[in-house]
Amino acid sequence: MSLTSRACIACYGLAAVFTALSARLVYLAVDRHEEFVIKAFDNYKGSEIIPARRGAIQDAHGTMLARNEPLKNVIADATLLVFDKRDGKKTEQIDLRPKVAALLTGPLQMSEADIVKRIVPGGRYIVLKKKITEETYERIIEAIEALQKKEKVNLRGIRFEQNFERIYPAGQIASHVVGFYGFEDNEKDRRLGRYKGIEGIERSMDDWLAGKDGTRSFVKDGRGREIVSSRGNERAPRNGSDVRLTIDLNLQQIVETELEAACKRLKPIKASVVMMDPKTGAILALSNRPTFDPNEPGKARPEQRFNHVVSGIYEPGSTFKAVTCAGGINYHLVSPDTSIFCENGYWTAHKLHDHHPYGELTVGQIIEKSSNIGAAKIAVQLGEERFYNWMRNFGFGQSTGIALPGEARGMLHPRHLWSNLSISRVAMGHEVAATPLQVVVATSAIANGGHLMMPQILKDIRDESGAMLVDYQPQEVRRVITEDTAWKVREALIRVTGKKGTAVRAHIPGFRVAGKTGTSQKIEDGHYSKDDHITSFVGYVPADDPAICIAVVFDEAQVPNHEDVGGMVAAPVFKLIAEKSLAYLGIQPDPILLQQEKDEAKALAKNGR
Amino acid sequence: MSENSRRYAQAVPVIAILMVVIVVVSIAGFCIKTLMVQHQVVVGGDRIKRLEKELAELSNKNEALQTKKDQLTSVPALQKAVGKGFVNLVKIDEKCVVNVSQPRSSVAIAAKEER
Repeated sequence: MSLTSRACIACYGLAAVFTALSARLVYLAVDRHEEFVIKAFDNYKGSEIIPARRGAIQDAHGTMLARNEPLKNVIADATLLVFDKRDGKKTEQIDLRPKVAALLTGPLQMSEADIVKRIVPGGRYIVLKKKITEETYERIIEAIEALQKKEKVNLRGIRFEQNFERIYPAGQIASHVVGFYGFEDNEKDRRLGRYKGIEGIERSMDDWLAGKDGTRSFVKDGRGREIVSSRGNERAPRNGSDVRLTIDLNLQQIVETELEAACKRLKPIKASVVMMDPKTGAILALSNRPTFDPNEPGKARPEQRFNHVVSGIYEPGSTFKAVTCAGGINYHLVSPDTSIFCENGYWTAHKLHDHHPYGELTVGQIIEKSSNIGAAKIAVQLGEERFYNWMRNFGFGQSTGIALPGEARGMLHPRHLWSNLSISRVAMGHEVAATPLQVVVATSAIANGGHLMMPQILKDIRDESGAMLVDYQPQEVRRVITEDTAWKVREALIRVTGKKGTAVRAHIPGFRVAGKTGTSQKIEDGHYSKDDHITSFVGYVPADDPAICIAVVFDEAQVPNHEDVGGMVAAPVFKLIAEKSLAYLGIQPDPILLQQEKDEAKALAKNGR
Repeated sequence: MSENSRRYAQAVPVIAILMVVIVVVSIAGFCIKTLMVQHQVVVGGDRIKRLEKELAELSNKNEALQTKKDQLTSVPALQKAVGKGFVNLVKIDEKCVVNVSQPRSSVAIAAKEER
């Protein structure tokens, strides 16, 4: 082969090689351009999520009811703990696991064998323990530093990840209001580790409390570390806002203590107390039994987590008569002194009984003695349509709009579903169901002179610096009765706690207490039970300038049947709560009234002698 | 070239060498300065990261202490402490309380009457 031919072959060969290389270059640069750009981007660019802090929940004075405790997860990187070390031609295997295990066994309260077993060689992200406290973290850091100094080893394979836990310092106190934070009971949220407010304020105010995570993009150096100066887009996290409630922890504590003591004594299947400021609608205390500890929500049964004040309905019984009589007075059909014949205990037309065979009773006495027939006759005078609208006006059968989840609307049948007897039954609080909250809201309207206030559980919302974001002001829903009617009904309600009333046990020396007892039979198998009752008392004090309105409800108190009435079961609990609350609020008894009561007691004692 | 010019001609091209030296020194200076600035940026960045970490640690510690304080001063914790006698508080009987400017509370009166 001539030289020229060989040169030609070499040239063709080279041309072919370069053509192939060029083709490969075009393929990589053009066809797989996107893929390599992404790979290159991943190599030098990174991003991280900056988690937002969840806001706190506080009582009206700023005492913490829910906050975050910063905790840490202990992570092991086995590739930095078990590796080969080359020293010239020799290769030595280094295993730092026993040293790490000896160091962590105490603080983590795990056996050394367990720690070694968990750190599987090759694993880069091994969670050794979740949620250790700051104190434990500091102990581990000190131990690591001491070991690194002493034995000249590098324990980079142990690192810590930020975590937090929701803490409820008050425990069971106000647990139904605060609620709790955790997983929703479904597999998807559990798998994604998606936490959120589950009940109470934690749920209803979740959007405000959660805040929004931030993000940061950055450039990495050859070792994968962030080059701070080349930080790119950064969106700062928006930390959750702090929610302040209208609940006063001291009043709440009074309610909890008295309710707990009453439940130990009376052993009801459930009980509720709600205290409201009648002038503003602010909920000052709210408690239910059974209850739960939000720090351990998993241990609570569903019935323990149920907020009866907001979500539980019951027949309000005689407490409803105040609303009925207020209707008659407001429409000028009756006055407190109007006399009504109470059929000597049985009203044949409406098949209605009274507890005692009353004859003529004034409207004031109907409330004082809690006459079913008297209340029913006033409702009949009002007429079905007017009476139905009257109750709707007071908020029965509608949600109050309180910022707590799962509020029940109660039950007030539409008028076309009423039977001939319904008007007489609804008048005395039967065939109608309400929540304790609705009852206290309606009574507060009578207490404050006729303004139906929206119950408020939120006081304000503040950002992390303490700046006010939302300030909740008292909201009047509507005026339901005239001021004159409110004062007339008040006088009748004061007589209920007087010597001849049904709730003499709710009387507080030196105070005028207005209230109404209620006893309703429970419905079992479609019939009213003779033995099982729901007993209640709703009242406000001081009657002339009300500071607190309280509803107390007991379901099936374990007392003899003749004692299972509102005046015997719920009224004394009202008295204990109200008396202590007034002392806390600095409201002193009226000295003139106190002297009068003293003189009366002396006179009675003298006559008795 | 005239004779005069040849007489004053430099044996060593000083100006040219100087220019080269100046250019080289300038380039070297620029490069060194660039390296120093880059080094400073890296060191500054590391410092920022360290400070960020320290700040996070401190705010965590602060939050942990606040939580501990809240837990220790919560009503259930104080009740427990009182129960154990840790706080050494003695309940003052209502009948022992005298408020000189206000009428006595109903609790106190009831207690007095009981006596």
